Amino acid sequence: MRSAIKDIEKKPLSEVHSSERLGDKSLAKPGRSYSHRLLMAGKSLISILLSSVACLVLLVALLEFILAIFGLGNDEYLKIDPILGSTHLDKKLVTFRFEGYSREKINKDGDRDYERKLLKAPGVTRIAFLGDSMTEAAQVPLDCSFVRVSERKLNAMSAGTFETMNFAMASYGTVQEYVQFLLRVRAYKPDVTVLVYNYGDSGENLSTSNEDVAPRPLVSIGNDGKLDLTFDFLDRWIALPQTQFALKTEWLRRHSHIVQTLLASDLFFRSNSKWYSPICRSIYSSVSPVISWLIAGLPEPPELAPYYRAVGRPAGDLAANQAVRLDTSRVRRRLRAETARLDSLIAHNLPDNPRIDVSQGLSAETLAYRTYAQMHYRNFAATARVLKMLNTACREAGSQFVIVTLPAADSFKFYLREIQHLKKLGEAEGFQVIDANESFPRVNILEKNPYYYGAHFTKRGHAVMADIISGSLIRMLSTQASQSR
Amino acid sequence: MLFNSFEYIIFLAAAVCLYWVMPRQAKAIFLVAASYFFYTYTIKAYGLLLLLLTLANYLVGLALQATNGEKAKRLVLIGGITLNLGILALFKYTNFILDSINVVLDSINVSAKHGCGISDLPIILPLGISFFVFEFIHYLTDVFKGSAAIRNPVRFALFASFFPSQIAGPIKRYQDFDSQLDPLPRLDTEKLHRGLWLIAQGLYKKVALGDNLARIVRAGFDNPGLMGTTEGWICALAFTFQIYFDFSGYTDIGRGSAMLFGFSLPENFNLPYIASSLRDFWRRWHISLSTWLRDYLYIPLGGSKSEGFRTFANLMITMLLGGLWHGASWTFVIWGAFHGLGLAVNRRWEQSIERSARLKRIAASLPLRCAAYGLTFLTVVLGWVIFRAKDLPEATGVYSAMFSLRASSSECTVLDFAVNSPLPAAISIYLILQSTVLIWKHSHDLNAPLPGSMFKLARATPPYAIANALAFVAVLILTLSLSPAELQPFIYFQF
Repeated sequence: MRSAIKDIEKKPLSEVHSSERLGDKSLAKPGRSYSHRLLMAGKSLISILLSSVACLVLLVALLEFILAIFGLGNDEYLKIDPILGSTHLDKKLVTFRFEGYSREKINKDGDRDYERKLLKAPGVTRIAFLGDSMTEAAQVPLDCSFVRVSERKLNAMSAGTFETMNFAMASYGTVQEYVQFLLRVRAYKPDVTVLVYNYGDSGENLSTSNEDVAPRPLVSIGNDGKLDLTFDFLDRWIALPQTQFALKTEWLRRHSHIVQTLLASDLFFRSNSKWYSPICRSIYSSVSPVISWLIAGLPEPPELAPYYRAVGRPAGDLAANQAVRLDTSRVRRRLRAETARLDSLIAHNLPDNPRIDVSQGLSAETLAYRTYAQMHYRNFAATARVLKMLNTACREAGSQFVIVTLPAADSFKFYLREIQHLKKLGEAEGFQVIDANESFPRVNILEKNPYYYGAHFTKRGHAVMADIISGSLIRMLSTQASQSR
Repeated sequence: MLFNSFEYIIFLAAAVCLYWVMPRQAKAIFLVAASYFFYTYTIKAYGLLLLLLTLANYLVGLALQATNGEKAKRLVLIGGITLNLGILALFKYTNFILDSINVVLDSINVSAKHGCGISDLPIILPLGISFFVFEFIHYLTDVFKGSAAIRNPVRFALFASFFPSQIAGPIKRYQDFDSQLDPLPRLDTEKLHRGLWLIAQGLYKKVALGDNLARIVRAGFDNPGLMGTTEGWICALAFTFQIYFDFSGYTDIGRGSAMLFGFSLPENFNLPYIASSLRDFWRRWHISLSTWLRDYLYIPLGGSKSEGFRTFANLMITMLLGGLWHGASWTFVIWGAFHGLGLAVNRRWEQSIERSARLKRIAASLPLRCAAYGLTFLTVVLGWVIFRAKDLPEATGVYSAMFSLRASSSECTVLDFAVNSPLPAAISIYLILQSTVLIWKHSHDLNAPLPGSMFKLARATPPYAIANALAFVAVLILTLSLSPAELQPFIYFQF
């Protein structure tokens, strides 16, 4: 058999039969036994397969190299977290290009911020920011976010030294910000904790059966009126195929530029296709086990979060990993206990219930509005309780609690009502509310808005926000300093 | 359906697979059905318009063939052309005419006094109408001149609706297209390879380059008052390249898609920005339109047979109508007039060179040749500003930024989008890929005896095909990694 191959190899190219050239050498020699021809065909098939695999490996390596050289394919930045729902992939270079543009590294603690030390330097006033994507500011370079610009402005405006820290994360709601404070922020001993409150935040905190809500811990209020922190919704989400896919591909999502590109593009060019969702769902559920099997030998994903480093690294499946499950339930128990304690410390009076004008009779619109208003009131009542608890936790940690309300359109009547409630709450509970909604410039709906790309601030929007926040903080701190003197 | 969408990728893959497994007799009907599906994907009603226009032109074509006598034939032709132009005018120019009447009424205070302002009609421009109407006019004119009409209704319907060229050209010549149906193309792996590569190249041009440049252009044209001189020029240059990458990218995808079915569509671009004169530019830019305008407008008007004012007038009429074809707006009319004037000056200069040996010598010198390339490019760039602007004040704003020697406002984001975006990487990768392809082409003579035959042998093996397919996927991934946030429709879709 070997001699047959050598015979072919020795022949000049012009004398080689076309079928031999195509690799199917066995077919060129009629009269050979069937098993011999089968063997030869198998060999040529193997050679084709091997060369194809070699091509694939070479191409993947080349493409990864090109993408890395040009700084492309760094789109992934979300990590599944069994306590908070999602966090940033720590120490990860991220290119954000879907609204504005930025290219920054997430710090080692998993925040979109500069590296920072746990211990505060003497004489420094530390200000921690909690918030969602508006505060995270992935749309602009780190230096242009209002958190960083505020630090520069505060340092320029006063003799003291200020240090701002950004703990914000896209899609976070009030409960996540509250948990984030208990788990991580208070360890940094901030002098001021600023919660940047956004339109819609209140609708993201109460326990829900709506699967469209982003994954998060939620609160529920029992029949006895007690508030409880619940992770049921989060656990259901973790068990979904797309979450398992994200978990199992964490190593690839972190290191492979090709995978990041494909995932960021939702596998295809972005479109609002009606075919897209079902196809992606089936891809996620069918590819997830294969990916899991393929990456079984690769290094395990980095630590999920600092608070369960002690129990070692999870193997990629939060629901299945015993060590993570145990540690997660320990952390969750601790958080629930602390929540119960804080809830017992606050007064349970609620903001005013919005009144519905029934003088004109209850039309269908009024009824719909009343239902919506009641739901909104219920959501805000729970949110107000979480805010009171956060204020108490801040006070206990020696940090002053401040709320900044983000700007929204004037037509968002509920939000305007919420801001009024927040201000009343602030007066009652002793925290300040900086109403950026009131101070932010209004743009005619037909004009080009220089403050927003789409839903998020441009550099100019961030600069205006920084002006509002730093000015108010300086006034607040100097008033307190003069009062204490 | 957009060429750069998820739907199109699925649609094309399915259509190509079905087409090649289908019996030969059914292939043409299948392509017509696929083309109508493609065309009616967004708005169903326009399928009916295309169908009726196709039917009308098919019948007019047959009538032209059957009619004896020059006068009667001419009447049929005029009827056919009027029908096509009437439909085009109705959909494309009605609101433009109404707006213009309103402006006139406003200027003489009639509308204010008598309250007789005319409101716009709710007309949505059918996709590709300018392109297929021009194809119908070409068909009728050529049949009138003696070419054979297409007798087979399916073949005529396919010529009228072939989806790779349906929305934004290239404007086909029916003789070239119909001859490819007789017999229908056979499966050709070489064409499949070339088609796939053209699609990949087109997507890269459109998504990675065109769409990233679009952000700079939008930032500049939306706020011309904020731009300084540098930003003004960057913005104008960005549009110059955006429109090239956008339109030539579309053409590449269209031609590549046609190749997957075994068809060839005409080339539409030939490195237009290295043109040595404006005349040369129009031989390289949107070739299928410029040759159409030459054959069916400029030459029938008399072309350059007569000297002096008559030729100038022919040029101006051709370019004014060429400008108006692009869109129902005065900016397009001015753009057409600008190019008409440029072509007239260009023609005058060439005539002067022809007459004077001394001028000929000077014009052939290196500095003047370089100046000719530079001047042509500059003229084209200046023309694109008015082409892109939505109205005259916007165009004036950009021109004023370009020529006023002023600094930009701190709120201007043109430079920001040029630097802080995937654009620098997209341009670098494009240059590297194009250089590699050029070097590869020059170093591999496929007809050479030894390395060439080795290369051919390699091409015949499955690993080559696999490597080719993988490289295609790699270019698609590169394109995805460079795509900006917003999916932009093709610029020429609006025409």
